Amino acid sequence: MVRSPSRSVILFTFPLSSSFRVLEILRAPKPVTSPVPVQWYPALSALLLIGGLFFTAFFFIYEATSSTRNRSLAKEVVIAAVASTFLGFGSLFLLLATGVYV
Amino acid sequence: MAIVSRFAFFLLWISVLSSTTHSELVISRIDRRVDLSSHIVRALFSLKVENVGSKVVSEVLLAFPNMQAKNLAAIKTLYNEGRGKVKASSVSLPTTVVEPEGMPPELTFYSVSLPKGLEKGGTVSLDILAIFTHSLQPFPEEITQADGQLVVYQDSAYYLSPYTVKVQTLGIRLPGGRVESYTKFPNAKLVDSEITYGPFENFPAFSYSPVIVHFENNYPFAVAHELVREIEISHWGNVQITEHYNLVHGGAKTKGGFSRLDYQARASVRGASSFNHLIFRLPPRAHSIYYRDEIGNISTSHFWGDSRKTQLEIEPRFPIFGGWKTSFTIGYGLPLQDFLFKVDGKRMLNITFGSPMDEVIVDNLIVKVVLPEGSNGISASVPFPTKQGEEIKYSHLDIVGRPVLVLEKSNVVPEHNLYFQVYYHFNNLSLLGEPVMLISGFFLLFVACIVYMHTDMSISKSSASYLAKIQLEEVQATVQQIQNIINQCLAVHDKLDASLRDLSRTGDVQSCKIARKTADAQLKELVKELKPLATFLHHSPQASHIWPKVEELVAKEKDMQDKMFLRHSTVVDCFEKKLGGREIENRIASQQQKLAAVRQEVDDLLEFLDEI
Repeated sequence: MVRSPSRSVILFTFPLSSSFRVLEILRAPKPVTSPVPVQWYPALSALLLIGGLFFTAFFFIYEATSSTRNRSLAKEVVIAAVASTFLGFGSLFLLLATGVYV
Repeated sequence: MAIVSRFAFFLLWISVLSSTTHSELVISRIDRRVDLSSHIVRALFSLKVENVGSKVVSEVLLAFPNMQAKNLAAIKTLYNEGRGKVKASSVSLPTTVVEPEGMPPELTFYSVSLPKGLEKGGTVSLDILAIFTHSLQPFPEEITQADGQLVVYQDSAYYLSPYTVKVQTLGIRLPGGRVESYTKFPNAKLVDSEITYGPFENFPAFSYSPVIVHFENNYPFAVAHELVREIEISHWGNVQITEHYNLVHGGAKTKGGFSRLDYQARASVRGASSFNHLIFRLPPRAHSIYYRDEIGNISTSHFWGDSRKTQLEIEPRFPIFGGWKTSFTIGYGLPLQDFLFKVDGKRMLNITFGSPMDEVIVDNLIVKVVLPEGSNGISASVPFPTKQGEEIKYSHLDIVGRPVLVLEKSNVVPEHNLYFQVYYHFNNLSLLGEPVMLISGFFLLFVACIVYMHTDMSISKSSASYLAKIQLEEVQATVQQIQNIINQCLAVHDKLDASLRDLSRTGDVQSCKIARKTADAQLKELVKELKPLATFLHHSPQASHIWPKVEELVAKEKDMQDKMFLRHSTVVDCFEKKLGGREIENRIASQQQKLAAVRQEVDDLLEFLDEI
């Protein structure tokens, strides 16, 4: 998949003489890639969403079983934050894996 | 024809002017080759210019009649540095429109700037490629389904130039097939669908003699009235291209009805001038290709590709006859790393400008480069003049919208399918904008749940049932706390157990004693915590049915503690007396059994309380 940038270098150096060409190659354009390899998106999405749903389940079980007085707000917020981080990244990668490039 | 009569007047003008022309340059030889095999007219002029004057000349003027110039889509001048037959690298020279003084307004002039001034007596060889659109006039203008398409092309037999031309030839390449007529000259001949005129020698400046060729050309005259190409960049790894075509058959209009039966069954009446498929040459590794129009997906398309190219062949919903229109959309994704680069801290998109379709004329091409949200400092470098603008597009998960660079160009031919560059600044942190939005969306949902669970929604705060509920909740909370403490006690017991096991392994009596001391302290602390809770439960009327169980649990736990310590001291004693392993086991066997029984009871009670 990785293509050498030589084609584009030639494109830019075309009107220049050969002494300039060395300089051009030194500052040759580097291809920009995605922060995470595109092939990983489906698996990442599945893993993160499963993790997210696990934490969501944990959150709701905690909400339903602990009594009003014993419930700790900090614990709730922390679980909610972890669950939403997992769900957020999971759904982002789900969008990317299905071809909706946000 | 009306056009010809207009030229008569034009020639008159020229004869007046011919005396007042530039005389420093002379074209010593020009070979013109005009290719009429498709609907795009490509004219290649190879000319040799000689300086006969005394001054150094740095530019060469090219003249085109306005009628031709308005259809001129592209002009390119190549200058060969090498002499003779060995051609060294050819250099493209800047060619621009100029308006020299004292020239007839019927002509449009282009000026070629020479790389270095042409000295007296010097010669220079230039290759000029001029591309014209809409220059083949269908004649007759309307044909039936069965007819072939005849078109008329007109040009001048002599090269129209502000300079004297010494030797010149003209060759016109036809697509093959019927030639209805062509203007006869003494030295004109038609050989193998190529008409040649000349050589003509020594013609003064602005010589003009119309040449008209009437021939059959059934090439698909695909003309896109408007093409909107949207190039959307996502730094998550994709360049998405969407092309909206508004296509028309630019040849002779069709008259009479369309017979599907004839079209399908009888090859002779098939409609030679119509076309029913179009070919797109897409960049390699194109993926997620779709082809649709307003009413949905069009299933008649074929696609194949290898590592170097991708080819897409689409069929419109109906064959396109002269004057018929169709509009459709194709879209495809390309891998980001093939087109986006990082240069000097800037991002650079390097992608082709024109349509990937074969031999299409685009009357009005709009290229929209949609950059990711948060990019700035946008600039473009296009190898030909375009109209540039900027707008904002709102798409998935956007807050401020994405900046869009709009490039507009009219009269676009496949030769314009060159790479162009768009530079912009982009901070990689902006990539996190989308996940942060999704995360905050989910988080708000959870916060709503938390708020709902924490809000007391009852209207009457003093009713008996409300108070009872509050009390019940308190009891429940207390029971939970008691359970917690008991569980902690059990954990301490387990630790004590572990210390005994360590003892049997290492024989370190001292550390075992320390473990007992800490366990003792912890248990005391826990019992202290337990006391107020138990008292509260004892006095609460709501807890009357649970209280016996809780009381029993606390008692059993106490019992368990005692047994635990007893066993512990027994074992430690034995070790201090240095008794054998078998002996110790015998001594604590009964205690062990009792302990297990109590533990079982405590567990049962905890389970029972859990279920309330």
